[in-house]
Amino acid sequence: MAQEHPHQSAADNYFLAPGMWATVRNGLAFLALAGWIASIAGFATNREQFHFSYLTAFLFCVSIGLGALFFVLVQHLSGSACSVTVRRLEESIMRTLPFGVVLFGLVVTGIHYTYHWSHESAKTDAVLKQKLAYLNADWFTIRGVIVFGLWTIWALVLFRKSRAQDVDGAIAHTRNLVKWSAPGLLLLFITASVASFDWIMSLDPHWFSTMFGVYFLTGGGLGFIAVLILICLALRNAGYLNNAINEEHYHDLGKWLFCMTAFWGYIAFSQYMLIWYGNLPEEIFWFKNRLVGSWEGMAIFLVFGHFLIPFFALLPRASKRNFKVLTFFAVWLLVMHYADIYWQVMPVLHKNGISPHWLDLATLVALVSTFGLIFWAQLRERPLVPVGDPRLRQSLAFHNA
Amino acid sequence: MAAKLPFMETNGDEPKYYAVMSDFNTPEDLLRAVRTARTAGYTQLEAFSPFPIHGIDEAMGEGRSPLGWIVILCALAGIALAILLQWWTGAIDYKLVIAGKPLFALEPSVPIIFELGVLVSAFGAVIGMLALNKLPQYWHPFFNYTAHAGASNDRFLLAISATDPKFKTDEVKALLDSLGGRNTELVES
Amino acid sequence: MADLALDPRVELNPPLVTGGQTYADLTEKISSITEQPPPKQWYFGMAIAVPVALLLFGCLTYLVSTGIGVWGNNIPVGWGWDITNFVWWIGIGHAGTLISAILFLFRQKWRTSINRAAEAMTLFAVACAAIYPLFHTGRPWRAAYWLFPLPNEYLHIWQNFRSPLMWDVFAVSTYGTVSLLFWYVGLIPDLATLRDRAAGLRQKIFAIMSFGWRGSARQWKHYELAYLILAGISTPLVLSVHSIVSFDFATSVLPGWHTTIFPPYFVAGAIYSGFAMVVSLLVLARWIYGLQNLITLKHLDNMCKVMLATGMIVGFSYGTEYFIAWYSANPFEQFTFRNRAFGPYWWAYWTMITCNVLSPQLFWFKKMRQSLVGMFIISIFINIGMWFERFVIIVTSLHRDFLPSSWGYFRPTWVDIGTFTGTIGLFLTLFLLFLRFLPAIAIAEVKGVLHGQIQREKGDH
Repeated sequence: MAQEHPHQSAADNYFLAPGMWATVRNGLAFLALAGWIASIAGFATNREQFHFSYLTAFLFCVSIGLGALFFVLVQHLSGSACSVTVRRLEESIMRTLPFGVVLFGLVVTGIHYTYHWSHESAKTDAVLKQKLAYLNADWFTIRGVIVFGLWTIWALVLFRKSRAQDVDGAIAHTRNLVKWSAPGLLLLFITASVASFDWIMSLDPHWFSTMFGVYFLTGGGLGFIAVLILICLALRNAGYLNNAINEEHYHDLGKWLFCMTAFWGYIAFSQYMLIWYGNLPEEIFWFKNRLVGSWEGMAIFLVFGHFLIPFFALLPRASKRNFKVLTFFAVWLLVMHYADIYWQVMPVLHKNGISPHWLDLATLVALVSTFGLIFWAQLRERPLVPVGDPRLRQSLAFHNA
Repeated sequence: MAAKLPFMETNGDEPKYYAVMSDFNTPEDLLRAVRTARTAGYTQLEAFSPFPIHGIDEAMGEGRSPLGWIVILCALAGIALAILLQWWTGAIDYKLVIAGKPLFALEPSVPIIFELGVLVSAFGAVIGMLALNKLPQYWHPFFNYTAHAGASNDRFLLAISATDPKFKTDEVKALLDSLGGRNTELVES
Repeated sequence: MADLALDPRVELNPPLVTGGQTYADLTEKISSITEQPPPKQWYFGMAIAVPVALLLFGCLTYLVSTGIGVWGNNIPVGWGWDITNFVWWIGIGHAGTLISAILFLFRQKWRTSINRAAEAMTLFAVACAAIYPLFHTGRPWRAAYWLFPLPNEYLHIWQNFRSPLMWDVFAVSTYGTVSLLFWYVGLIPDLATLRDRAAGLRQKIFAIMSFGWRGSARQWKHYELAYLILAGISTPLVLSVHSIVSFDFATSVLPGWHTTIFPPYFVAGAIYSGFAMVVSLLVLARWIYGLQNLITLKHLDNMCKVMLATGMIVGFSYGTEYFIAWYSANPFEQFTFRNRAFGPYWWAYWTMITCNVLSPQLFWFKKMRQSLVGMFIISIFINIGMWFERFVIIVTSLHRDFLPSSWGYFRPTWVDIGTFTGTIGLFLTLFLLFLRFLPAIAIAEVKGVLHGQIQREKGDH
């Protein structure tokens, strides 16, 4: 049982040193530049591969932003005190969502390459022709803009109110944030489902799974926690937030990493097992296509790498409090999250087996560094923790069981 | 507790006294008493409280409970049992193809693997906890303390055991009294 | 108190134990319920619950002596009220585990006043649920051979472990057992409290029941870890139980049943109905025993919010199912979902929507979350709605078979109705007995919360 200590921990420096901030920004900008140049080269030479690689990297980044939005909303609703110190970092990751709509543009330009419901042949397909009222380029774009629009509204509102509280520390903001969070959570479920149906599920337009939105969001939540842990630990190594985010908070983040790993396993297994058991031709092909050649090896690898190994490794209390173990599994699970999306997207293009392409790396570097830059821009001359939150004191003194 | 069954009477060889016990008003007083007694060199302490007090294990120099490892072993045993059960009954002892499913496959075996893992772990946690606490134990010298009932109500008790190498009745009594303990008494074993 | 109310920290963390109570007050208040003759309201409740429970025994006796043909299920509706009631009761049980385990892991301290009662409710709900698989075999004394892998001499056969119904047996029996262990472990320190207050035979009984608990720091150390571990394993367990119940349906290839969202959707529905039942019971228990300072409006307000959230998830799942039914372009799926809303069972479907999706919307208003009468009525509505949800899923998918010549319409018999009503009687009887004889609120845990509260007040002023 957690208890609060009356004593106060020593104060941290809540602001990044401008020099350090600029160094990291320059690094990210360099990576972004290199990534985008390579990506543009790929765009010019191999459109089809480019769009698939880009979509994978795009989903990876956006799902992490959605994971951040999810956790910020849940945190406001549950009123939990222990995680307040990391909330500003969460909000800054969430704050990358509004820029996604720009990057979504390149997904739209690739519709013809990635989504075969956009082909002429779909009009004569007995099943697909019934869906074309929904699956068509115009509506795909409009839906994309709507979901990004809603995410933008919530990301901006949640971020601004939290920032406003930094200044005045008014409790009214906390109450207001709760009011925004309740409908926000519902909207997030709906919009994330719509997005995942459009962006991933419709790559195989005949296929359908009601669980898919939950699956997508769960993967994003897991990826987000991994990113958050890595950012916190990186800041720690640079000498920031040593007291504000201490071993107890890492233990808590480690629990979340474990919890999301387990939940991902539950969702992924349920979806697979139900389709395996039903063995209906209109559903099972999705998995059969993803078990062809080396894709099968990757699927088995995901079972172990995305679930079994991290599950058992993160189970003991000691590993959640050990920064090295935590760093390793945060990186590992991020790789697994990318691999999971890759395994969902790429078999549509490379039907016979895994076929890595340099564009996979180029688009990933380009998008991750772009999202990273947006994230990093949030931290400039702003406190790294929500200094005005009335629960902050409780959070600083938080202690695990 | 007055109920002391005849066969549970102690024999003459054991030390005659269990401890000197005293009770305190608040958990903070108890914690302070534990720390002071430890500083004074006493090692055989036991504290009693109506609810767990945070930080008392550290104050008493107690390590963490090994229960977690017991439970992990139980979980693995449950998992192994479930795999063996489903594989042996389905694929070896009574082969019958139903609904075109393989005689044994992992996909449909996971639910029972999980459930048995949980069931055996839960038994491990409860039985392990009782065994580590040497429970059930109907009788204990602790119940000879006249104010022992406070430990399940609103008092915070400290016992300094008679087996402590530094134990001297008068000194211990004086120490506990000086720390604010009430009802300080020498408790028979 | 006036300056406390102005303090933002107190406003965000309102005290969970009100009325300026001490540890001894808590002991007295909670223990004395079990030590004194019960109030009139208790006898009034028993006078209603016991005869209804007897109805259950009557119906079951009639069932066993006559045969399961006395129930209304028949081809094409091979599963009728029996499994509807089974799923409904199992689902109600989930709130107990959720409150005791998941909220414990999330450090939601407000759970401590209600977890004991909620866990007891879980046990009684699982007991009511277990009646159905046991008695649907027709020969419950032989059911052990069908349900559990017991070696049997004449036939030399084993159960089909690849069948979700077998998974269900393991899930429900594990769930019942682990819930019992969890509940009992929680009770041990409180039974010691009752022991120390009692004399004579009563003291001996509680001494045995409490295993000789002393509350020493070493004991608490192992105890707390055991409790944490039980909470840790109960959390995936509670998810697994209703997921596996949902597999009973979702592994089939029947339109309306075979859908991948079933596991999380069933779990959310289970929590939803369970919280509704907890609210119904706590509002009553609060009224019978006057526990206003322990089960505060803050507790009930939080539970209303959980109901609102889970109700929205359930509504979201209904929506997703409808969308995917259209999106699948599968005519069977599309027919099933049209038939659900506009077929012969339209009344059941719209009852479900009204109770499950519309009625909890009132919880957006704080006034509703603070009104005992209001939340009691809504919680009853939700219980009705969740019963209809299972009924709609089960019966509408079955009554329209793939061949129109096999279409049918399910009607319950009086035995169906009597058995179901009887389980409610049994449930209430067991719950009232629990309130009478065991500490209905976790004394040791509430003391821990009170300690934190005292420390906070000291630290702040």
